[in-house]
Amino acid sequence: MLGFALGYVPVKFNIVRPMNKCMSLLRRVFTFYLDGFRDMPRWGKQLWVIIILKIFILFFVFRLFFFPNYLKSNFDSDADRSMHVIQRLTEIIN
Amino acid sequence: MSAMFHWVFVPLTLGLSILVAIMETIYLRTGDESWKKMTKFWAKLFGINFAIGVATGIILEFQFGTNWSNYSWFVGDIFGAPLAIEGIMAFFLEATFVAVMFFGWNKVSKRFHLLSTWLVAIGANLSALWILVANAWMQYPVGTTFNPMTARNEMIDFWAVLFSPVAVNKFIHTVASGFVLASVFVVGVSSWFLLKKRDTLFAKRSIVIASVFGITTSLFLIWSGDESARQMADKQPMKFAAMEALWDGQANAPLVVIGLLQKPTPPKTEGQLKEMEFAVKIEIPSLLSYMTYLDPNAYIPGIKDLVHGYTNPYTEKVEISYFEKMERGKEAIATLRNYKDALLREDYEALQEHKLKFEDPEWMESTFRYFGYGYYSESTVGGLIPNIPIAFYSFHIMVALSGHFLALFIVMLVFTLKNRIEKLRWLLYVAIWTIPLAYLASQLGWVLAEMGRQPWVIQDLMPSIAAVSRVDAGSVQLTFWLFAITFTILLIAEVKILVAQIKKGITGGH
Repeated sequence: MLGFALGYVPVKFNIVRPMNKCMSLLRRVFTFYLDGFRDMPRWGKQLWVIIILKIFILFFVFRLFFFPNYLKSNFDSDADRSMHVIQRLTEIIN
Repeated sequence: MSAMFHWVFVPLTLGLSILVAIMETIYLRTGDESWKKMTKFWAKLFGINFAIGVATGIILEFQFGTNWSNYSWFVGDIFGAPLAIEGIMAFFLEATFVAVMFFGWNKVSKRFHLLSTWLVAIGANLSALWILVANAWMQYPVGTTFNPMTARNEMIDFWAVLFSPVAVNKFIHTVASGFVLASVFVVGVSSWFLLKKRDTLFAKRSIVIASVFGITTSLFLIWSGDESARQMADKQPMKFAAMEALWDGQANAPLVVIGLLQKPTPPKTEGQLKEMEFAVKIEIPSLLSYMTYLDPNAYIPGIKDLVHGYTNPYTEKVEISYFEKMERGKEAIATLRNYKDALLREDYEALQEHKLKFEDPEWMESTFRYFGYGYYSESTVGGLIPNIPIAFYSFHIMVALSGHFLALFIVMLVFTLKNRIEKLRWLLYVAIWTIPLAYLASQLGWVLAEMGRQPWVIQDLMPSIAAVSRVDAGSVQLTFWLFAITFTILLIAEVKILVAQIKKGITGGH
């Protein structure tokens, strides 16, 4: 619809063709990946399942429940974090 | 341990990507379809290994934030900038072109496909550069200044960090070790095909390509290793003395070729060092001095010299003792504490006075550079010496194995070119069993690099005891074992896929 309308507007630069080109390129890239995944052999699909499982465990289990960022979760500002680190660095002299 | 787990996968990715690119280049130049099959087979194994390694390094980033919060705050943007570049580069170069590499056969032109394969190889190796730059800074901190206000190191010279001699050498040595490991892998797997009398032309061609690549990169490995040792003698002399188990400094220092260490002598007084002597050793006179300073008469300081201080009789340079460094370190720590107290009291006059010290290059060079020594005292000086057996054996076994790899490549190449390789079954077995040895050597390199520099997390500035968060040991153990168990289960599944694909050979599978 937009293309139809712009096609009749007497402007110097026609933006319809570049847009179409861009869309066509995106479509080709999408199809390239889609075909690639569709034609993937069984072992490839198994690997992808493992990769997704790994990333899920890392970010949604380990990161959330076992690896809190110590300074971010215990202090509100960078100034507090700095002060805490200085405190820790200067208190453990033998 | 987490870093070692990650490093199981990285070297093969680095080396195999280049080997695949070389094979595809030959295919494009010759048009011979058998080279295409060969490229696709090794690319498949590269892809599986790449997938196995995905995300194993992310756990380190989590651990920095949880267990090493003092350290990750103290290093500031030194790690942030290189790791961000690594992330962006890895994503755009690898993720984009890996897809073309695997999905693009018959869909893009041959030249564009080859370009993608090379870009994947270059991208993988360049992304290793950035993490190695960060690691090199920990071994030899340059191009930065400490800001007492934020308690962070700030980068003042990006190029000094990037092109520090330690970083450049570390990159060449690490990448070369990955190339050698990949060559051993290709030679070993190809030997298995020859033993099974399957795909023999493919196997022999693979052996030739990998052996030539392996010989070339072994020479780089030896050269960069030699350079690494020289840099170590200059910048991390304790690590250097530890890897040679050299307790007393000497001119005409011998190189220990083979040695067996005795149990340490128990210290008679508090603070005395636990010395370790050799039960047996074979050494070459003056070689260590020569290899280090290209002069057989050069003086190499031993562990005791470094602890007690010494004057190099050859150069007459005076090196202060660890005890003096401890005093200077304590002064640096006290200055930081006084700065903080002044800040809390809002005593701006005192604050300015302490701040000026951190801005004085002379004070920074003479006192602050020994900041980390301030955490030790005369009774704990032994904590400043790394574990000698670990440093000594990891270094010597790694060097011996590197020699074995080079010899194997030469022998395999010669007998393959003479077309006699299939008859030498024992040699094919040796090649297969060399694969785990290549992984061992690769791991030992990092053991030496990381354990040899203990107790330093950042050389001379931050020891491990000051780097950790206030979290209990049980929680650290729990998280580590959770990671190790979960990822080992997944690893077993992935290795099964890898082995199944190798067994299918060049003609089986896709």
